[in-house]
Amino acid sequence: MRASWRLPGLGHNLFICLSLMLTACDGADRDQGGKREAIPEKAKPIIVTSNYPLYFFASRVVSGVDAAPDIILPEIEGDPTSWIPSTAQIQLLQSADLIVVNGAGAEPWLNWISLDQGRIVDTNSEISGRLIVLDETVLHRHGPKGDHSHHATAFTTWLDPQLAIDQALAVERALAALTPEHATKYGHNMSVLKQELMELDGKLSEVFAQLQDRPVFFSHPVYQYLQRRYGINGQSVHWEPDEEPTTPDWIDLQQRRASHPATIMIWEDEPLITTGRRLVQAGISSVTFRTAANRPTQGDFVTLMLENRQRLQTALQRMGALSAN
Amino acid sequence: MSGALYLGWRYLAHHRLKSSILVASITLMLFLPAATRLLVEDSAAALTARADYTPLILGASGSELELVLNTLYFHAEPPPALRNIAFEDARATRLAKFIPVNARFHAHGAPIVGTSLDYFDFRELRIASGRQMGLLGECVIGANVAARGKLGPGDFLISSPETVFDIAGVYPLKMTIAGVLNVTGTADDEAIFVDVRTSWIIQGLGHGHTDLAKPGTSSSILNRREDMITANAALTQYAEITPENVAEFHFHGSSETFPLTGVIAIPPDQKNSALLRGRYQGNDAGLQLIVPGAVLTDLLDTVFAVQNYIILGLVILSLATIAVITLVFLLSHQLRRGEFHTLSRIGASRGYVSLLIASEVGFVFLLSAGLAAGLTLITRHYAMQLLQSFLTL
Repeated sequence: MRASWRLPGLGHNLFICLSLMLTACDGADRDQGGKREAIPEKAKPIIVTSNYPLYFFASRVVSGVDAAPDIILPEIEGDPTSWIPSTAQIQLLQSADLIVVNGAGAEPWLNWISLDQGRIVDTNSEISGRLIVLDETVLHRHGPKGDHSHHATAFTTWLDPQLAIDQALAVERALAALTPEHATKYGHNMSVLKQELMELDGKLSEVFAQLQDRPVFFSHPVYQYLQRRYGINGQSVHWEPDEEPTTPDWIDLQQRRASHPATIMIWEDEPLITTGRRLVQAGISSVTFRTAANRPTQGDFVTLMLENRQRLQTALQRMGALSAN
Repeated sequence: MSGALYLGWRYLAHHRLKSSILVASITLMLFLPAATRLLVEDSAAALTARADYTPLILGASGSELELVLNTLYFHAEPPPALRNIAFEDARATRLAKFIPVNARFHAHGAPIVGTSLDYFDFRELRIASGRQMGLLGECVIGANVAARGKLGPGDFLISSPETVFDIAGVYPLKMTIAGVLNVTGTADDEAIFVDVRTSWIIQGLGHGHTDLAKPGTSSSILNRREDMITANAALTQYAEITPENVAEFHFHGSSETFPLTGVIAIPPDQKNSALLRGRYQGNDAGLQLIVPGAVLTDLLDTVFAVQNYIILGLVILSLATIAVITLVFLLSHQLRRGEFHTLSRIGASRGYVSLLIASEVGFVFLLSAGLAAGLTLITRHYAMQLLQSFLTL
């Protein structure tokens, strides 16, 4: 390629050039030849996942494979979407061979941390057209003509088992690309996992079908994909299970019930006993449907979802019995 | 023989002024062409080595030289801005590894280079103390920046506004030093490295402030609609990014439009390199993909041409100096005829006298050669340090 630079002032350019040459001088030995220091190889590749479902999928895909990559879910307190990695966790992320993320805005920390973009695997990038854009996002701008921030998307994609399968497939592809020698075994494990998730989908379909068009409240706006997958007639409020709802919250709920006479509220976690009682008095049963975003104290992703299903089933049966009486 | 040498040396020592002038003249005569040639050739090799080590540079159309100087040496004059979408598009081709570079700001007189972690692997930069930058707002600094400012991990640097007249624009950002890089002897020693998004925050494209949707922020709100809050000028922006407020940092507008000064492209092989270059050949989107080695070779051709003229001038000057020195020795010989006559009367042969004169000339040239060699070494050592600071200003 022929360079076509111009010399607006020969003296200036000559000075710059001489400066450059002098600057570069003692770096010659280092740069010449393009020799690179050998980076010591780790015993096993490290895969860091950003939430529990992805950890579960990755662990299942590498299950039973000798010298498989280490799958790590960092210690995250509370909701992984609110995670601010510590310095040590940032160093873990930077040393990882792959960082498997949910995408869809579930990892706001990706915007604040310096990471090798080439190692990040967004498990929702292939299905971005099926993501749900949130209408309720409050945007802001600076001054009347300032640019504004963007709308957010719902991120609990794994609550739709079909999307969860796609995410697991993305994990499997990334693992197979990283350690191709195990690709066959990964493929086999993925088939088993896919079958399991499809069965889960069937079981959840059955239980949610019993709701028919019955209105439901969600305690938190995190069930969008579940709602879409199973056609749930639901509305979300913004209640925390470990916090007492305020008087305006109760008034808001009453007002909503006028147009949305729900008799079930689906919670992320067990609500406070007092909240549950007051809801019962208002004719609303509380059902815990854990999102499994973070590592469960016992069981795994599938068992957690089956427990969710069982609780809903029990609640529906109880309500059915009550209405029969 | 030793007597003649001793007398020659004593003569020079006795006529100190004359000897010093002769030695100084010959030293300069030897030093100037040698130092010029040595510096130009050595540093040209080093310069092209850094350029050759950088396979390709993608940038906005404009001066190729500015693009190369800014991307390789973070020279103060930034080339026309390249939109981040061009970087994303290039990355999507998967034909090479692409490293963004945004070098347009300064702190402590050193350039702030916004880039990605790939840059450190590519340039084989290792952390000498501290750790790699992690959170936005953290930086790692070159060895010379650390030494000059007596800075280390945990210290702070504050970015300088782009211009002194930028009153309404960008707030200076207080950056935490996460680590100090090893000495490399390259422009990387003189730079402050941040995440490319930190450089955009310095540019005012991103910032942090209290969540306007939260209660208690009404004094900072100009207008509130159901789905849009407009802040007024009273809204205070954070001047430092900490783990406590990092979640409040955000960017306005589309990151696709955010600027870069250049993108380093590292194709894995010749085929991908050719494909990539073909893709940007005759590009009508205002982009250019250049081979930095070729650009610098063109520049160095000019430098070598100028160097040859300078050396030619110095050689002519040297010939004139030699003529003058010869004249000085001849005149001196004339003036010392009585001295030589006395020597022959006390038994000194003609050969002895000739050896005496030759020893005087020899000592002068020997001293001059030694001084010229010493000066050349000193120049190589200190000139680089001195001029390196000019480069990044």
